[in-house]
Amino acid sequence: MDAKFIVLQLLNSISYGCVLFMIASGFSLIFGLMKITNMTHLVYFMIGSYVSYTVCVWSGSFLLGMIAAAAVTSLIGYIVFKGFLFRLRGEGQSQVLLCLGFLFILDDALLAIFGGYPKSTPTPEWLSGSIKFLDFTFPKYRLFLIVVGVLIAVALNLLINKTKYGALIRSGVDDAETVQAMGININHLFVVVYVGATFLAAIGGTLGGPFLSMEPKMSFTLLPIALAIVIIGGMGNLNGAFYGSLVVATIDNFCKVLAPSLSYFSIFLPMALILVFKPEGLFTRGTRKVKREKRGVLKR
Amino acid sequence: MLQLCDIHTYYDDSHVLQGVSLQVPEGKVVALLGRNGAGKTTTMRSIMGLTPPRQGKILFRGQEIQAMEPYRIANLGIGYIPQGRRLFPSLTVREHLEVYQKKGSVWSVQRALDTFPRLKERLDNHGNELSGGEQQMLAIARALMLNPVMLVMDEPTEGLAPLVVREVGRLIQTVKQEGFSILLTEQKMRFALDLADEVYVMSKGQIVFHGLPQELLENETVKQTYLGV
Repeated sequence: MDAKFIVLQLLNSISYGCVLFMIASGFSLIFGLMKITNMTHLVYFMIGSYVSYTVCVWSGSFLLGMIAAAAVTSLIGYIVFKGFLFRLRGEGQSQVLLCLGFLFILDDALLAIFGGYPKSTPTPEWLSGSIKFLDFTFPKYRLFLIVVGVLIAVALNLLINKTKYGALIRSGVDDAETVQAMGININHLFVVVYVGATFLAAIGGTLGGPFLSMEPKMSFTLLPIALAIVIIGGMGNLNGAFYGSLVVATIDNFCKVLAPSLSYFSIFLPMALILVFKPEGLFTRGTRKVKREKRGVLKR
Repeated sequence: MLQLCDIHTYYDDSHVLQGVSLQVPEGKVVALLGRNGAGKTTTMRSIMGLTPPRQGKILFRGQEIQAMEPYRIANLGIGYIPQGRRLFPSLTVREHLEVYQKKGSVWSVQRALDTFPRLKERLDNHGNELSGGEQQMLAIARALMLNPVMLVMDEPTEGLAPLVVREVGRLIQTVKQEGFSILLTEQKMRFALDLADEVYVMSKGQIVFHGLPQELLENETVKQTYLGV
């Protein structure tokens, strides 16, 4: 295992992590705000990648594929939320079962429409090929993924942490009931966040298209990974989802290369340890603050 | 201003409020006293629509609100200061005020800060980084941003040190002088009687006493049986 191998695998991990972030961020925000374990989220990602694949092959335009994927998937997300999930507000178990049901139905629909053979979206011409730098050659598309992924993460971070609307979402994650008692119709917030998260999953699916070979049932492969990220990063915590995605992608990537038979174990062992010892997630700042607050109160 | 007519509220199958009726006249401070578990918080939550009553009516300025969603009730002009303050740990003091300011409210962030000057130094602190007194100020300020005509305060002195309790008493006096009608729950009888124009005492989900503060002070039976003093 030489330095070159490690650098290349790290870059691979980061680009994979960027795609995972686009799933995990929305998954985590939905859970944080609405306490829904939105398992349907994974199939939104797959719908996004299949739609973009189809449109991209048909029109030759990657961008057009992305727009179509975002539009179709957001619409499906809106229907699932407004038509079904929303009616079961406050009934956690029913919501989980409903999400699981939609995951099966939509995933089977993909199988019926697109068949079982793995597919990859053609890489846009200007992004195909590799870049040579010093001793390394690295596929352009993966560098593109890293750039776009980081840009999206930064934009999302600014949106959530620096805008008034973002502050409203954060307060909803903290305490949705109090938000309502302060005169805010939280149902609007729920719809916006749910559809926004679906949109993001579709963009992730589009970007992942040329680099993951998509096949039906991939939703089920990705589901435990998304869960692991959200547990490691902390539920409802956007920065946590970002770092969690990178951590999980790196572990997963290296283990698949070095010890393929351990690949699931390698993600779920850390997840189990975190659940036992730091259940609020590695990147949640809450606990330290609580301690600081306690000290402050004692001083006074 | 606010009128509860024989409301019955349940948590699942347990019948918590068993026919509560009370009134808050305009511009008055009404205190609702009682021990832990008497149903004070449930009464407040029923008013705000967080645990709506199954029977009975709640009238706010003549309008029935018992079946409305919480955000509508709040927007009619009821500012809610929940038990335990329930500030948002992820929001700074400034965000608490900005995000919850209603359009057209006479309360600007600046006016809130002029009313509670101590919050000025804490603008960039998070909700959970404040002292007890500051937390209570922020909880009141957050409720004011909605431009209410009435405040519903659930145990504003809970868990605060005696000095801070006095400070909160002054805060409520300040707010009272602004002309708000206030419904206040308390366990600390003395504190409540100093502020209140009228008093209700609650036990096991029912109102067991209604009168003036002086009348409660002189009523040893009610004090001993229901308040333990």
